Amino acid sequence: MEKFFAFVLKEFRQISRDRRSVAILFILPVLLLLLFGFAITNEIRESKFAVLDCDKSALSSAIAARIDASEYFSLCKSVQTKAEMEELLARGTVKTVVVFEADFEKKAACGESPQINIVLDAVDPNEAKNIYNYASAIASAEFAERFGRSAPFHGIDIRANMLFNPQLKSAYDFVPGVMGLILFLICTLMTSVGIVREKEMGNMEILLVSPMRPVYIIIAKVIPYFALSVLIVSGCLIIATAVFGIAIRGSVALIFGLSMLYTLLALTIGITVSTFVNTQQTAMFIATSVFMLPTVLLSGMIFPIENMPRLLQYVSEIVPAKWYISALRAVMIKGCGIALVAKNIAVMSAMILFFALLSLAKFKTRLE
Amino acid sequence: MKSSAAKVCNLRKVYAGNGGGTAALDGVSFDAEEGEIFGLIGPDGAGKTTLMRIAATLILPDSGTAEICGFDAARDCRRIRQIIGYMPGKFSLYQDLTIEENIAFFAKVFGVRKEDGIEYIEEIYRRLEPFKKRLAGRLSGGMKQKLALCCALIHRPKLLVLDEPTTGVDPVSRQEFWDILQNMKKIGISVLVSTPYMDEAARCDRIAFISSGKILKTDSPQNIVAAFPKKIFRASGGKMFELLKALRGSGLAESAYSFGDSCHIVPKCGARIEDLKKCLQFSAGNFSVAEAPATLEDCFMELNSGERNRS
Amino acid sequence: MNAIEVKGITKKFGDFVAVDSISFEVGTGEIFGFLGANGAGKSTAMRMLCGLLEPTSGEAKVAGFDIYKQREQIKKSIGYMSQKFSLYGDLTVAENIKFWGGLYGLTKAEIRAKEEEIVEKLEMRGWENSFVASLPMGWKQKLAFSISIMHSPKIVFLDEPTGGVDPIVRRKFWEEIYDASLRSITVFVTTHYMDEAEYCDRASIMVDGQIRALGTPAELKKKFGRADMDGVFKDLARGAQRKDA
Repeated sequence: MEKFFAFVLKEFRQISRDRRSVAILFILPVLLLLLFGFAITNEIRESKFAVLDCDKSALSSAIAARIDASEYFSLCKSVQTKAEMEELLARGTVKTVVVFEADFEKKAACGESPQINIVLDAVDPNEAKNIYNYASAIASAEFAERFGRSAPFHGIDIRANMLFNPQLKSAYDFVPGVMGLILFLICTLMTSVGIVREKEMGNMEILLVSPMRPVYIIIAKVIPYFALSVLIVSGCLIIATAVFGIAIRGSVALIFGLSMLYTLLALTIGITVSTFVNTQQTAMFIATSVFMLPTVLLSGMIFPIENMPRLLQYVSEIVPAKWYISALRAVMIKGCGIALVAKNIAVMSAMILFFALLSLAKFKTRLE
Repeated sequence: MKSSAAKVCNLRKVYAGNGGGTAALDGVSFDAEEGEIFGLIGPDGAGKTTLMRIAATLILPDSGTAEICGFDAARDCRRIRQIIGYMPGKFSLYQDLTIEENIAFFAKVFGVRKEDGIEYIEEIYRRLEPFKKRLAGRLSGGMKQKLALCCALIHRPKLLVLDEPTTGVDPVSRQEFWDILQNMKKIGISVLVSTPYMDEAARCDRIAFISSGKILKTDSPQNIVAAFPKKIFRASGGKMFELLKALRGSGLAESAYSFGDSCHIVPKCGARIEDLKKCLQFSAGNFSVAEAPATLEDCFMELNSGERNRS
Repeated sequence: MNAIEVKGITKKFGDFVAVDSISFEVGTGEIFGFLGANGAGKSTAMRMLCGLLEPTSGEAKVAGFDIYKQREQIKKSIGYMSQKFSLYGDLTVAENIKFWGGLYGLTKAEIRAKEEEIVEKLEMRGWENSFVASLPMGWKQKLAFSISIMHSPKIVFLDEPTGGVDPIVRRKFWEEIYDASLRSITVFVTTHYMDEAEYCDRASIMVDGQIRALGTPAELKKKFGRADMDGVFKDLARGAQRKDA
């Protein structure tokens, strides 16, 4: 065991001495998060909207007027038909259409929940969400003032209708995406290059001729990266909540659990790569071209999987990051419990098993 | 009879490469005894590194057996790896760790206390100590080699396997290195060492000349020199290359090669020293010719050219 | 005219004086042995002479060109070969000759003529299309040397050209060197084989960044009262202060 710790200590020393790597390991995640985060605007001001008022009552007009009066919105047009509304949205003349149902005032008077439908252009999902939040807050406020909070009304039923981007791929999604990419980058690339460097520099030659079991060499090699991953996961979560104000809905323990599982998967892939190649360059090339590109392109991190051609959708099934990112989104944003991500956990575990067995079968206790 | 430190029997190893594949080892056998310095002497490409790696359990031969300290290299590699110290031809320590850290690391890996280990390698470590905080990558050749030896010795191995430890190292550092090996031998460590330098052969107890994957001869250096089958004349004076030309042109020499400031001539059958003297009188310069004892290098050249003629 | 003239060149790396004001001259066609222990400063000095490294101070001319201002001309007038790096093993003999010829700026016709000449001289007819990696060591060595002088440089720098080489090949290689010097190519050579130091016209021995001895092998042996260059070298190198530092 002492041998093992000596090795781990050595790894930490070497990593800490390689300033460039340290910089990459710590600065890259922060940089990526900030880049993705601030690239998306949050501010809403005088956003143009239209009204499709099927009720034409005092109440509906009052609510529309109040929205118009706020600093966030300005009324552009009143439309009469659904077709007109859709055209306005498609042209981008307005971002929002507020739709009042036909019996709006009557329902309110009877104590039923009257319905407002807010139809949104959700191409920029973050903006759409904000607009929805503001508009519904204003409508609810007007409604509450008129009928009082304690009245036997169920309140107002405000529905969002997100057009063009119903899943709301948004700022909330880039955090899981960046985490999926970073953990993969560090674990696969760094471990495979790290192990292959020992081969290339001839260190492996001496280590093999020592009582240290090769399996321990490998495990000791990946421990620092595992530890780093924990740090990175924590860092990403802190930035997500502190800088971007993203609320983590699900269990933090589950998020860490998923991340550790995914890290383990990335590490076994890194080790597998290292058993196949002999130079750092090849390791780097394989890690980036064979593993990195699919992670960026096919994991759903940037491009929604459901919009891909059928063939690529199948390919994305074998991209490890896809399973992690979707699970993380479910837990972090939707607040899902372990039962809902069980499939993801099962798939990632199976992948770990596969790569672990493959690398064990390929690992050489001799030089050739 | 002494037991074997490294006994190899009929080793063959072929590397697949462009042009079908060349035999790196072509039926190699020798028996290095416990407590001796056994040298494997031959030029680059002779198969030395392959042989050393087989002895260090790093590669498996295509056929033949290797027995290291009584264990079979193919089956008991874990046992062997605990009792040998191995130093590859290429500097293989961590360049981004200091001398001290490298030694501490290998002490741990081999499961010994660093203090015990250092006591054991004190003679070498003393020379390294002033620089112990320096990164290994920033040491000169001779120094790196001493550090590598320290790390290979830290666990008190029974057998040291050294693959070309002195290649690219200057004559003074080389001599120091061989002095250290003699001391290792005194405390009971067997040494299996390879080198391309013929002058180092004389410092081994027994040597095996190796060329093109074949062992040319195995014996003690003294016996090899004594068994040299031919006469050698030594000529010196004047310009070396003119001398060589004159000798080769004379038809009296089977071979004529430079050896430092003089040249060694293996005379053709029946050629006498007087004939040579007479022949050289017609050439320019003051030459002196005398019979001389053979050196190990003469022996290697003779054995090697004999081998070449046969193949 | 001297092929190399060095006056007090010094190279410092921070506080460390790698080469400490060395001076010497090498005549045209001379075989000059440049000896020294590991870390004595040989490689640094050689790099400065090849125009790869600028000296901290001092003056030097190589092939008549100033090593500060005329590096490009120097590079055109010298050849370089070392045991470690010489030819591409995965190119054929002919391809290597064409590649290096092109690199040295020879015309197509010149390269063809040189290829013919080299193949003829090294008796390699029929091997032109073999990969260099598959050649026997002796041929590789000679081919590397022939290629390093195919552009008829004034000076050829040989950095440990014979390390690890078969004893016969080593000796034959020195006969090639001798041949080149007869064609007025100046040879500047480093080696760890002290018997090879004997074959040089003159040799210098560097210790701690300085040249401590310079002369013909016979002069040096006489001066130090030693029977061979090995003895001379060890006498000097043992006194080194910064040895191995």
